[in-house]
Amino acid sequence: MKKQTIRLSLIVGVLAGATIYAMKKLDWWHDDAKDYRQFESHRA
Amino acid sequence: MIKHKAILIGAGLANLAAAVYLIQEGKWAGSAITFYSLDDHGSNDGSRAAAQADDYWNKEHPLANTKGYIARGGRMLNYRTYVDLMDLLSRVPSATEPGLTAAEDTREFDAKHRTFDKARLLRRGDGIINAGHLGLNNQDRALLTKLVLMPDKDEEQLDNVSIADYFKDDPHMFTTNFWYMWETTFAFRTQSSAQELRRYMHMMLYEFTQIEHLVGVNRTRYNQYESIMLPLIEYLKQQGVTIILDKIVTDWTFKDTAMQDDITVTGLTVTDANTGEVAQVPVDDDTAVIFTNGSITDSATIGDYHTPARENMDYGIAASLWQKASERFYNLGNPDKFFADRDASEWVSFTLTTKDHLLLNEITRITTQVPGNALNSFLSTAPITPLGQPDVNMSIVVHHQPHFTTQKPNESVIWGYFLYPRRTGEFVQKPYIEMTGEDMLKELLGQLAMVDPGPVNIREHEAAIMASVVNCIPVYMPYASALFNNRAKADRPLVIPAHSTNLAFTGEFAEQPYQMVFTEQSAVRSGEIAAYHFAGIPMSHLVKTPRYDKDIPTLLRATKKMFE
Ligand SMILES: Cc1cc2nc3c(=O)[nH]c(=O)nc-3n(C[C@H](O)[C@H](O)[C@H](O)COP(=O)(O)OP(=O)(O)OC[C@H]3O[C@@H](n4cnc5c(N)ncnc54)[C@H](O)[C@@H]3O)c2cc1C
Repeated sequence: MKKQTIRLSLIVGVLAGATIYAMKKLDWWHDDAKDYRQFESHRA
Repeated sequence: MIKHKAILIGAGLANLAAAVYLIQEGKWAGSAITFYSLDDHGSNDGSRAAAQADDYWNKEHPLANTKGYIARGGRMLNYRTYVDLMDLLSRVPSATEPGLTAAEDTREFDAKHRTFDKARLLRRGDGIINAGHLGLNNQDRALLTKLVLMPDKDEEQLDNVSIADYFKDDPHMFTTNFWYMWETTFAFRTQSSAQELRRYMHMMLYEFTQIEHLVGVNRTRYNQYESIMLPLIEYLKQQGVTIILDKIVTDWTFKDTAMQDDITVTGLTVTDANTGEVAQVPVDDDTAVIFTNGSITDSATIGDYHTPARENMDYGIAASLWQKASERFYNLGNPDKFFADRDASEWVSFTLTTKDHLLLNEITRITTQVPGNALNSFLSTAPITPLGQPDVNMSIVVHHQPHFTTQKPNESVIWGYFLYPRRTGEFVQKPYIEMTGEDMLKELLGQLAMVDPGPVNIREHEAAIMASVVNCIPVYMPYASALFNNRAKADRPLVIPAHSTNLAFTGEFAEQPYQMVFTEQSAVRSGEIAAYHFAGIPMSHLVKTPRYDKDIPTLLRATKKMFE
């Protein structure tokens, strides 16, 4: 029973890790607002 | 840098948008804004042919037959992604529907005339084909998925990669229904930029799932000039904005600085398009200059029923001025990438006006759909591409009638186009570029006859249809697809380039995050960014862009669609 729980948590952990890694690679949390900061005006 | 006055070079949609945002969000007085432009429609035209017969690009070869109507392009909008355009249109009254804003006008019309294309692709012998079957194989799917999954930060990996390069080991892609629909819905060519194709796959991912019916396509009540441009122009004039037409800005002066990289416009040379008279316009420290640095209808010429559109070799007035700036500053892009490769950018279109509805009714019978709902593309059966593959010969859009407010009830107007003007017709043995309006109509009738399910073939009505013609105006547009040309990210200047103190670039040849070209949406957004910059409005106030490429249900639906 205990062994099974460990195995299950390992699988879930690896899957979650892989998903987070893939999403990071895909720039999933990209902050669109950051793209526009280059156009922000500054006073003369 | 915050300014209090602006000179706008070009009065196309992008700059009209900039002016509206300066007034409404920047709280500027209209009198602080002056336009210098060749005309007030740019790519968004729509008028009687007589009004364009002797315009600047056509001066050397005016039309013999000036009857009928002309709109150089049909227009498809997409509310889901055209958020900035719809925001802009909600700020001005409609020019034709009293009591409605221009946005309400379009939404009201569109709600009553929903698009549901039933004959997106037609092929000789087969008639209407099942375009919903995209025909992708695993390699096509893998390459498309790679494009969709490529994040914004990596898009420079596709610098100078054409679509043909990207799919070089997968020529099958160019024989799929997906490609036939994608190239003709959006005007991609195989020479076009894979970087731009990636942007389209992101922004139009939602539409990918319903591409064969075009259900996401929204249309305006009338042509683009009357439904979109005129409301903006009338509003701006009421606000006291000065719009000076028939002027070409042919040169500019910049401030000399020690490092030579500060971009500050100090003066403009303005040439009268009719008289050639030249004037100098000084630009002071408190004035912003907002320039649309490319127009896909610059140098476009028109013909008539018996005359082909003559080829105009001009570089284009917008690109010529852009070039003068890019020669001086290193970070303002490369206009030649877009305007020195006509082979990649040119196409021809035509606007057909008839004095009865016979042809319209015949098209309705053959395509099984009422006017206003469709984009019909006719596929060749013979190999016609350099890879020896079949492709789309021509496409037509049958507008909801009337398409012009002055159109008579008995008249019909139909628009069509050929994406590759040097290819030879299937029914008239000439390259499309050499065809008269009459030849183009014959070509269309030939295509329709080949897909006609009967019982009485459209050929039986040919004489009556030819007799119903008021005019058929061919248009040659050397730069129509220039904005899709193969490019690197640095080939277009940023809307607000680094080191610029008073110059902004707007339109389809300015670089901005995420947006895709050949859309009224991106033109408007570029104007909005320029206005917010010079009025000192935080960019966080820009209209929010939806990201369907990060929407899980859309991604799942697109994945499913790839297997249909
Ligand atoms: C055939 C065709 C089909 C299209 N289909 C669609 C569609 O289905 N959906 C969609 O969303 N969009 C479509 N578009 C694209 C849309 O029309 C454009 O994206 C939009 O009009 C671009 O606006 P703009 O203001 O950037 O440029 P333009 O409309 O080209 O306006 C720029 C104007 O500025 C003038 N100008 C520039 N420089 C100078 C100068 N130095 N001196 C004087 N004047 C100058 C130019 O001559 C031009 O008149 C289509 C366009 C065409 C041509």
